[in-house]
Amino acid sequence: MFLFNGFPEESPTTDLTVQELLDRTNEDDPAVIVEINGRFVYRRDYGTRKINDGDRVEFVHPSFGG
Amino acid sequence: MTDYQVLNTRAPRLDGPAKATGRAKYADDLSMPGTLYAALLQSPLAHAKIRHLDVSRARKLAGVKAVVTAKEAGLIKYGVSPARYDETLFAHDRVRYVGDEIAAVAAVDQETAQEALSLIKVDYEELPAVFDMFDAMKEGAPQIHDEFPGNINAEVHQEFGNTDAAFDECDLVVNHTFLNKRQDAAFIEPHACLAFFDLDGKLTLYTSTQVPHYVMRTVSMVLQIPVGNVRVVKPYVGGGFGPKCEATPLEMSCALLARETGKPVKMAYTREQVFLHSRARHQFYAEMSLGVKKDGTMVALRNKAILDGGAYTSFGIATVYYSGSLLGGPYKLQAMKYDGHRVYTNKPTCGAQRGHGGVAHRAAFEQLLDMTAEKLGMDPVDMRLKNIMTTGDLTVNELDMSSLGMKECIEAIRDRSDWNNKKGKLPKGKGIGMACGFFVSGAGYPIYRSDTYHSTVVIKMSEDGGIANVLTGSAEIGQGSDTVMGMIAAETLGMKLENVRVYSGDTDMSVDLGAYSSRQTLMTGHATKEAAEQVRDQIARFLAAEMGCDGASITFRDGNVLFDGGPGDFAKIRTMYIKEHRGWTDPPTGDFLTFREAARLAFLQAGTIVGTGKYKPPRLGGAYKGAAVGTSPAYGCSAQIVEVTVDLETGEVTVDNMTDAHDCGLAINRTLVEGQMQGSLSMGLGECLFEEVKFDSRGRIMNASLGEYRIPTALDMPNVKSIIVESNEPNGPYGAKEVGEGAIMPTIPAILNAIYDATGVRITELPVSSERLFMAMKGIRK
Repeated sequence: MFLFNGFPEESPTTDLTVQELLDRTNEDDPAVIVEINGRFVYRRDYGTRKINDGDRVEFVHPSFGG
Repeated sequence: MTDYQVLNTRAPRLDGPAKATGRAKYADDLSMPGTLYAALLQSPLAHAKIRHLDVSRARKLAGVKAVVTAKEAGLIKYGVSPARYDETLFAHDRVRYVGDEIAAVAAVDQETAQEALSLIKVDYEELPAVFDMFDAMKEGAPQIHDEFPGNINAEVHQEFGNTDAAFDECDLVVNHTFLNKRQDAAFIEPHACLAFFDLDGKLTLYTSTQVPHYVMRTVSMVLQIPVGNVRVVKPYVGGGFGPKCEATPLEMSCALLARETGKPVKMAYTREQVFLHSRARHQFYAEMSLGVKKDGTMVALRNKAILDGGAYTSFGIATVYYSGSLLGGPYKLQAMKYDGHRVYTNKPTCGAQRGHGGVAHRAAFEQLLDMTAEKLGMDPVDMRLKNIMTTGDLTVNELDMSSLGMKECIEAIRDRSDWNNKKGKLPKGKGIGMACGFFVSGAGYPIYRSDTYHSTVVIKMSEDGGIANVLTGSAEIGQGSDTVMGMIAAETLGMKLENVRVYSGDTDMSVDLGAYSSRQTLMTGHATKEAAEQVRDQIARFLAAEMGCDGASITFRDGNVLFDGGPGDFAKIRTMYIKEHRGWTDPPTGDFLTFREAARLAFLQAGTIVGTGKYKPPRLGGAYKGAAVGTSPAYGCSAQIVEVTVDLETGEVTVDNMTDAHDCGLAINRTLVEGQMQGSLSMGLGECLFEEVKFDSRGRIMNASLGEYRIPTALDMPNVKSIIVESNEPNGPYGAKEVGEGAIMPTIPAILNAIYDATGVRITELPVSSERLFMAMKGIRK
């Protein structure tokens, strides 16, 4: 179980990566920022960064207020 | 040029008479029978644990009707971005800055409320505090939020293109650092609100805000009121500039106290509380390197930022991104790398202020351009023109310049300021400098994750057909948006502006995300235009049926109806109208059927004629993963030239002339556009030369008044030449786009570049006080 954009989410696999979560949620914003536990996740790490039990994952659209 | 009847004129503001005669009601002017007055207890310490809170004596004071703390308010976290909800209405375990809210009181009058505050006992355990952003990042620094180690509130790392390789190709790399100071927006009207519940449990909140929609949602969430039971109404507002872009403890406290007491509750911030609430300009530290070719071609940019965010997040996640992304233009670059950190400190929270995130880094970058041009022996204007983007270009981070009159702006200010005869030819102590900038016309997303429309508008015709009522939740905050929406409606309907009434700032009227991000002209304007088109088309349809003509042959213009460009045979309709309104004093006259008669005919056929409009941006941004922060349907741009005189004995700077050109697409109202341009110049001048929120060693603001915090007055403003450049923005209503924020971007660096031209001293820290400049010149002389 992890917290995804403020809502509890059951992990479908034991080794869900950020990229897999992006794909599963059909996230199509090229500018989306991924944070885990409040920390920035580098785009190059999306394929390898695992989402662990209890993690707080946020997909942030930072273009929300010029 | 299209032959507009209303647009592109200097129509007087719709709110002008009310404001000029003093009849305009602001939030603090409002009252209701039985109104209670509220006050906030705020922390006197910058960082402390709350060991015990005793409000019993305050509750017993005669005249006190309610005292609320975190116990009554609950601990629901809120903020701007859901990704950083880090505030509770009242601190319950820890205070994080001088001013953090702890309790609120409602009483029969303000004096009693204030006395009650003095009776609240708070037992604090003071904690080590940190006030400097660099210190806050050091190992061992006091931790302000446990969830964010190292006090790192937000960070961003982006690279577009291969920066290292691009720098390797450069003939020259120039480095620069820059530090601005925390600013206050210094709007004239402090926040104020009045809250009351009706007998059905519906909250109405009158408040001085830029964002009724977001206030509605936050109050609903924090106080656990169904959102349909919250109505937020914005009366006249005396300025916002960003800090009124989010829900405040003032609003939520009043609403909570109104619910507790069953009475209307009112409160206004003092000027000191405005400074404490802040949400104004961050302090930014910028570190930049620009790589160029010998011929002045810009190639690569490295940009690092550290932002002092204060105690909470507010808009900070967006701020730290905009500091990087808004340097992607308006110049062509092959590669750009950005690393930014926003840091928590024990100071009031910074937020979005005019030019959100972009102003300080733009100042640094435009200085760096001048430094580079000097090393290359190039004229600063020529260097910018060599690298300038034009309509249709994509920035290195894939922002789409769907219209961009940047080149025209630069050429206009060069010519109107007589740059070529002044640059390098002025006597010592006199200087001339230039700079450019651009800004979004609305953001790609709402603050919360949603597919909501960003603006909806309803236009409802009056029963007699003579008046179009524009209903919008958008926020007129002094910038003139009501007038702009009225003009767009009038133009689209073919009515006279005087027959259009705009009702705005009410969440019961429509959805509108509000006055921020320079979005309303484009986004609310689109919705207004669509609503007006619906009304117009309905009227034309009924009229065509009555006249037995093709609807396409009907046009509405200046309050009249034309059939195939002529008057047509409308005698039957006129006779019907006049006979129906026997005794009225204003029967329609003239050689053309009036819009009023046509709209009345439609009413008789279909009842009240209503049109609705809506707008949200299409999916924005390119295919480049990691790009597109700062996406917007359109970008406004500015260029400015400033002339200064520097007293070489004292360091005092006088700004002598400002020449400003701004591309706003079609200028809906030319006077309002110039007002935004000149207001931006004034604000930028203040930030450059005077403004700095100062703190003592314990985190208390030392200049929290407009007597001690100096902003420019008319006496500080020079002659200004305002030049409107009108590109035709394909994504804007009638080709319009922003002017509210882009216009401030070049001001600070243009002044700094002019000071350099006058003195040979490059100032890298704001504000340019006489003392700072004098010391810098002294250093040069040594």
